[in-house]
Amino acid sequence: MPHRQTRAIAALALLGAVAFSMPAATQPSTVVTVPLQDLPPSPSLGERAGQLWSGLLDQLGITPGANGMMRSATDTARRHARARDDFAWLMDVAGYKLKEIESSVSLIPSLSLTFGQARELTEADRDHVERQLERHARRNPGTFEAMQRAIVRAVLEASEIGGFSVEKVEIDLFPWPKVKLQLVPTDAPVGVEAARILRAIDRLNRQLEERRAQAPEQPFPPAVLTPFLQPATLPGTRS
Amino acid sequence: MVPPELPPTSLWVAPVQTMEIILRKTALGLAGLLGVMLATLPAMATGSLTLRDRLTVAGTFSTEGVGRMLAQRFAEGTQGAHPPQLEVMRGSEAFERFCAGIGPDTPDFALVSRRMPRGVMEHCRANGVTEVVELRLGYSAVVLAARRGDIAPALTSRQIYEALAAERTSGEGFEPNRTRLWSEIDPSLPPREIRMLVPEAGTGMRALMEDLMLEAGCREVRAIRLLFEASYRRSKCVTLREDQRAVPVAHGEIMGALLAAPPGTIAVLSYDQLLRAGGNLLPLRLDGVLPDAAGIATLDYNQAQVVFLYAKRQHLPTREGVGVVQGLRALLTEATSERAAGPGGYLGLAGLVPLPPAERHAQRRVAERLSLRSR
Repeated sequence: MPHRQTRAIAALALLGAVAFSMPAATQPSTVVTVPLQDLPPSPSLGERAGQLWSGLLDQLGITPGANGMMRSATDTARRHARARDDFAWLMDVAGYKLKEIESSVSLIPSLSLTFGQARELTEADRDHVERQLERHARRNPGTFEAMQRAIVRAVLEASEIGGFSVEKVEIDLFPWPKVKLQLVPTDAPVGVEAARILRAIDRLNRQLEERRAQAPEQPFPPAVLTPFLQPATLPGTRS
Repeated sequence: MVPPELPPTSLWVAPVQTMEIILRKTALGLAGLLGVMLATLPAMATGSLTLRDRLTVAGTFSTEGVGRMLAQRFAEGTQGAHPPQLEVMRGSEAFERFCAGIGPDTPDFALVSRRMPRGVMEHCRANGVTEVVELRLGYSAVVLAARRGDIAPALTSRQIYEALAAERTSGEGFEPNRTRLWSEIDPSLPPREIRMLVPEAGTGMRALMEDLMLEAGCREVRAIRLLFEASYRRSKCVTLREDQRAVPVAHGEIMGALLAAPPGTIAVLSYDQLLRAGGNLLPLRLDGVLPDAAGIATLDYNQAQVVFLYAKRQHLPTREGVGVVQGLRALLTEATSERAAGPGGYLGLAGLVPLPPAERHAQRRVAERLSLRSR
């Protein structure tokens, strides 16, 4: 297909020209970081990635639709975006939210996604994920989708065996597919901030106990008396 | 070749040399097993050739009912057998205990509602549990039913959660649930008082209801999804209100209680109980699917799950009766028998829905041959 080859060469040339004409932007790496759980329901992951690419192309003076090659690239990007949305949904079911999209434009463009753990899974959640994966497999038998499911399963399995949880999942989509799981001990020491909050809760509880002991005849307002502050762990509950 | 399981002889007769040959065939746990067996030779000389006198099962909360029923009937129907010991824990813990190794201190079976993931299987192998038999016993399903002649509204698991939970969400916080009428949850529902009969706490059916109805119902609630800790989130989902709108009823009494309850009462029961009601109770559509055998078998009905039984073939005694425990094969055969897992089988009393006939036959063959899990 000489026409396609020409397009490919043109694309490479274009990227090369862009890369070499902007020395400062040889690696214009863009990192979008958002706090977990605060992502709005829309735009979707694909739309967000698409917006990111569009913004970068706009900055570089390249407008989509300038020629057939770009239209074709846009269509491909849209298809990929749909697949990535599907993947983000699967990861969400498995308790992980998109945390970061990292994209760079150069001779070899790159796109990587970082997911962070948004919630631990209960046993029922794990059953639910398994069932959703099976349904996903029935609806989407393709190789790319199978790879997505394999990643989700790998994350689940990594957190299945004692003592560790997968805190972060980094996935490189371009140029070379790569998955990196960051495992942390489940009983890892708490961070400085968390320890400070726990100490404050303990201190406050002690103060309330002392005040109650000193003045038993003067009842506190119920809202102050009970319940005491406590960390978000209910003893005796099972997950 | 799988060594046949024979009843123990009256005295210790296997020479040490034979025992060593047998042990050499065992992959891991060889040294440990030998050590333990040599240490227990005096005890064995008194008549027992195995290291443990009863089977042990690592079960989960949602399979507890099936496990207890199976253990009880197995002990009643097998001469000289001690009742298997069932330990109930979370599914992940059950897998972990099962895969901890080979020997008398590890369970012979895992009874779970989830297929063993490949990663756990590899963990098993790494610990020497290389011969695992996997059986599908059937499905467990939890259904909603109303008395014939009553209104039978189609409900969603979200609506069930909102009707039964002790707390309801208010913004991103929680407040006590004071919802009185179904129509307060959704205007399309009838303006009837919320009255539900639910399985007693601590039973297998209650665990199923919590897993498949309440947790499923609260999974998409934003304020719940924001909670990171699994146990805390679950407690918010499955803690029931205590104002007599969710009345706990013993498993065997739920049908009678529903027939005697005020009109509009809805009961949570097993699919088997629904069938045994003989048309006096009508199933309610839940999440858009009416519970029937086909919907449960394809798992299109969301409130159903497969019950798996895993066994360690390496715990099987040899021809000479030397091994970890007696009765492993007998329990597998019992669990897959028609009287247990077939239509009308006693495991139905614990809520188990039978597999299709061909699948039941296939599982019986696996139990007879002790075929190993392929994946």
